Amino acid sequence: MEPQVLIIAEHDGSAPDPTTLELIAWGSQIAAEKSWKLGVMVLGHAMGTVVEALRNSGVDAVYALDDPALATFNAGTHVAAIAAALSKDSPRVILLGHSYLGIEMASTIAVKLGAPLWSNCKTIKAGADGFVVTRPMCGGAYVSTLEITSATCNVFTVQRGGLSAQGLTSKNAQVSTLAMPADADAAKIKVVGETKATFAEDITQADLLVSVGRGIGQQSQLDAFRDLAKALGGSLSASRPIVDSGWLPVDNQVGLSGRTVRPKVYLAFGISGSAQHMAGMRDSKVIIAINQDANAPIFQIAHYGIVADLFQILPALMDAAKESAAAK
Amino acid sequence: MHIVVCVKAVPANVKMPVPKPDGSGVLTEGDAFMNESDDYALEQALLLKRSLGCKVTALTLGTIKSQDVLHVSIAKGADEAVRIDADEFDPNIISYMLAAAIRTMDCDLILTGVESADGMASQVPVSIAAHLGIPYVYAVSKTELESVDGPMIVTRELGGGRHQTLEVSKPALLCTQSGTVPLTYTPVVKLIHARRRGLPTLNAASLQISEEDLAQRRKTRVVDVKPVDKSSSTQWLSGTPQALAREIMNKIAEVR
Ligand SMILES: Cc1cc2nc3c(=O)[nH]c(=O)nc-3n(C[C@H](O)[C@H](O)[C@H](O)COP(=O)(O)OP(=O)(O)OC[C@H]3O[C@@H](n4cnc5c(N)ncnc54)[C@H](O)[C@@H]3O)c2cc1C
Ligand SMILES: Nc1ncnc2c1ncn2[C@@H]1O[C@H](COP(=O)(O)O)[C@@H](O)[C@H]1O
Repeated sequence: MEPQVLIIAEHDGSAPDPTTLELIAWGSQIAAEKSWKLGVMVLGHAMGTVVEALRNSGVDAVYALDDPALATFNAGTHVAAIAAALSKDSPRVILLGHSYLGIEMASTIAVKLGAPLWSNCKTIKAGADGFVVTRPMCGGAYVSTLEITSATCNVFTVQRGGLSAQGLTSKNAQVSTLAMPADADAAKIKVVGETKATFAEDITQADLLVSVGRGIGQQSQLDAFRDLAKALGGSLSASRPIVDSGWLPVDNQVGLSGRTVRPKVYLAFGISGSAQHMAGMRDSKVIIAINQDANAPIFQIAHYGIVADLFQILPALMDAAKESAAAK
Repeated sequence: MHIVVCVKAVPANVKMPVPKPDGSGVLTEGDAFMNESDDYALEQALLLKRSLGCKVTALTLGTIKSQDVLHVSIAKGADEAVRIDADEFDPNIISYMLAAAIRTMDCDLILTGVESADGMASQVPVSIAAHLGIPYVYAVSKTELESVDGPMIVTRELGGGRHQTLEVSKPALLCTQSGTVPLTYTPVVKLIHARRRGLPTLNAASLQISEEDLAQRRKTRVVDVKPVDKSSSTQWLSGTPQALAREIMNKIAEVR
């Protein structure tokens, strides 16, 4: 395959995923640095508008594989199709999103191509004889920088949010159609159903969320936060561990596997700010975070940060909220 | 039926990790505990053991410091526990070695967590499955197996509350999400008992992995570790609780 940098696209059937556009931005940087060509491969079924959008996304080439077998995601089928297309000659760099789909495909593509995988990268830079990536570690409170010696092919998964996809200009890329390999057999895994989410309580409608994380310590504390949410005229939401513990239903979970919220005010109590959590609330208008750890990643996106024990502040805030509610 | 559960010992409350002088990994202080989602993978295996009578083996790769997660696994009900004695940081190498060990174990099901708290790669499990050439599912929220030979029905997350239901043939690898099965309490007496048990170890040599092979796979060096950048636009609030409460109320009033 001619492009030395290849992106594996994600899409919803009508448009490329924002993650893919960011990957194109990363890929453009690498391609420019190395004077390489940039391509994107897209798999799916009946995805004309996706292909058209990718053609104008700033890449040099689009490789489209349209087949009914690719209509629903099945890692086995998808990876077999990708590997078949790359069997003769693989690119130097393959980029995927660090997403449910990217995580399921990247390792297998890497192993099939005998390439190392560098996953969950926040940033990637191409250097003279390798790459420098930054990755989160220890719950995201720290960032490690890795120097990587280039292999023949190098696979990366990249986190959302590290680079803006704005300002990419169309190169009017040529579209090549790939054929579905005969042996893209996924019989080892059969998709028997897909369910949409149903939520009883709709936290996405609240214009203020009091959101609690593992830092609240005990289930018995939950009532105080529910009262606070009520006094502030908002709703109560939570990070995943609170839901995992059965303290709140999944309706109230904010994040990648839960709900995406954009309230006017997001008050985060004892939430560290994992990438998966921030994926669901980063577009809130005003984020106020209270955490006793000044290194908590939530402070990367908080508009207002308070480094303190949340239990010191809760009673005073409760009083202030009640006072203000009474005054109205 | 034999289930292998990959459990990783991860440091808790890490304060200022630093790169090792040779860049081969990161030094952290303090005790290591079982990684959160691995705990759920182990419980899932033990549930299957209770209903179907399987054998459960806990497997970890790490230094002697990681041994306690195996003792905890035994105390919880695992039949065997094996440690690959190695100090590796790169998920490419960890998964290669774990796959080599699992290949010798003749197992029907491999259960793992979804992400390790320290490495945060979400890479090791699928890489193991890829090395072994078996089907795998990431972010599994439900595992149903009525009989040892029956079909395995697996539900997995796709994000945003969406789920997919899959029929998966064994042998297979499933990455178990946290929160998916009830966690059981580990009886202290059983733990004390388990800690007296000597555990078998493997290493690169016993897995027929040569030094040259490993050397060729070493492609990275950790050159820096630092706290995550804070947003330069974060406005830090401080003061007495009352003053902070008032400030928070003011900020809320400004946007509503
Ligand atoms: C595929 C996948 C999907 C996921 N989906 C989601 C999702 O949708 N939503 C989600 O939230 N997570 C999700 N997660 C889990 C995520 O990775 C984190 O584990 C989780 O978000 C951590 O929750 P937390 O911040 O509440 O807990 P922790 O990370 O444990 O943070 C607790 C915080 O509380 C602080 N704290 C403790 N005590 C106090 C105190 N007294 N005062 C002030 N601060 C205190 C600590 O400093 C710490 O920062 C997902 C993970 C995976 C792998
Ligand atoms: N050193 C290790 N020993 C055993 N299992 C591991 C190890 N590293 C990772 N795993 C497994 O792989 C999962 C994902 O880890 P990671 O790819 O590091 O995010 C963990 O939840 C474990 O189940």
